[in-house]
Amino acid sequence: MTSEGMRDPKHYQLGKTQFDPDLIKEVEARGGKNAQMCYQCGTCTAGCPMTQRSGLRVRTVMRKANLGMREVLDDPDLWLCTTCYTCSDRCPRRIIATDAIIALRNIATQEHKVPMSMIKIMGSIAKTGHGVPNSEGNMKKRVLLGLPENPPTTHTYPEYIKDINKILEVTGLLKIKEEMEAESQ
Amino acid sequence: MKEYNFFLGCIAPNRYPGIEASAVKTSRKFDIDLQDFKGASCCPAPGAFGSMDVDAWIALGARNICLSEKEGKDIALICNGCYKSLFEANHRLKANPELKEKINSILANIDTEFQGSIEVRHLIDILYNDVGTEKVKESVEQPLTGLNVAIHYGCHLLKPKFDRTFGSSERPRFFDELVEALGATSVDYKEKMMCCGAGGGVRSYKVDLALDMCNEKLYNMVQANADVVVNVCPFCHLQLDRGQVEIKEKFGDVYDLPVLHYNQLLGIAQGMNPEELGLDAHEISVEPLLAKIL
Ligand code: SF4
Ligand code: SF4
Repeated sequence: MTSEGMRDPKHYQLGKTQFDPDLIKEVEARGGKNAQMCYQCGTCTAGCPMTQRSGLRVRTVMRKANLGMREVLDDPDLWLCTTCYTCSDRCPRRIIATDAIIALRNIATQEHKVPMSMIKIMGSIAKTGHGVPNSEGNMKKRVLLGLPENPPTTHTYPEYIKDINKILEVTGLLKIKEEMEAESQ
Repeated sequence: MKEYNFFLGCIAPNRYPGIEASAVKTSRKFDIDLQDFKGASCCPAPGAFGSMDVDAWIALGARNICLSEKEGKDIALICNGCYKSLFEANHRLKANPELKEKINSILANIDTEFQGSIEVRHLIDILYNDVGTEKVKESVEQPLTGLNVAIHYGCHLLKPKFDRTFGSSERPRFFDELVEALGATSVDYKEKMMCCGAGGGVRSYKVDLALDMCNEKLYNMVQANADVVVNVCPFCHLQLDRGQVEIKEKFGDVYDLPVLHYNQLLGIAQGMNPEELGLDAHEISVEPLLAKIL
């Protein structure tokens, strides 16, 4: 570690790796409560159903977040957590590691690092109110069951969709969606 | 007659309407009226939406809750994903005045204010805690004797346990008791509490990995001689049912294990016919199961 890097209170550096001490504070502020309490026991990784079939390692994510290694935000494996909360219910430090992962994903979203598959779901909700909208084949199934073609949701009352878009707008998500759609073209 | 606003979510009404229909029909037998919930939307999907912005996720969930607050009705729902979104939004907003203020400042843009005046209940919670297994048992006309059921609780019903009311997330019993009340046997299987693999946006992000997890669950269920998987979440249901078709295509593994939502199993036990429960619309045929019990 260079002495120069050490003196910079905000960012310090080891080789090419940047460390940002504010990252873990942001994770905690965004819902990853007590993430700084992690003592690296690895219980989370051991019980995670993704460990054996992917590169996701919860303990490593927690370590990187605590060290302020912002590169964790670029890790595609960050998006492999199914949010099953097994790690969280088993953590001896009562850290909700899942919520720390979700907080990291929120930060990554702000930096336009969210997968387009998620942006698509947002687009569907913005347009129809539903993440998974009705289909013609399904309408027939509904009628056979004695149900109306469309459920009494925003599908029947589209006038409610504008409120959904307003929330997406004031929380800044609509802007992120539009910018990312423009970037991906 | 206890009235609820019936929050449908997306997958039940828009992919498996039999789950919606069976919930309404079976609940009537217990004097529970699941009513049309006008203007409700996606909960919104906790994995995808929560991952993008937790505040927006809570605000959109609160929009749904506030619609029901205006009608003065508690919400009942049949999906673990919807449960995570709406139960947690309701609970967190009631418990945390700072968060409530923050979310209400978002909701002010649509002339809405969260009050904290209603409850959000999963129907399985209502069946177990309000109706009770004895009354469920009394409603049975066609006991499911000899049927081996692999129960899939689903993650967001029980976890994180500090934010739930069901107790143990490692060895819960209430769902097993509700299945046993119908005369069926709940079989134990390896990694029973494991996730189906669909959540967190993973099914839409990396479907192969989501299915690999599901494949392991299905294998373990079949090893335990299960005749059927029973769930309380349309998204787990989709993953387990349609997932079998995809697993066959991608990995060549074939299980042909029928998948039912608890309300559909309850409907069969209450003597309803398979068509009115929408069983014919499932990807994996339920015929072997019906042949065994009817
Ligand atoms: S189980 Fe908890 S304390 Fe242990 S490594 Fe994981 S997050 Fe850290
Ligand atoms: S919540 Fe995510 S990280 Fe934790 S055990 Fe489940 S899949 Fe793994």
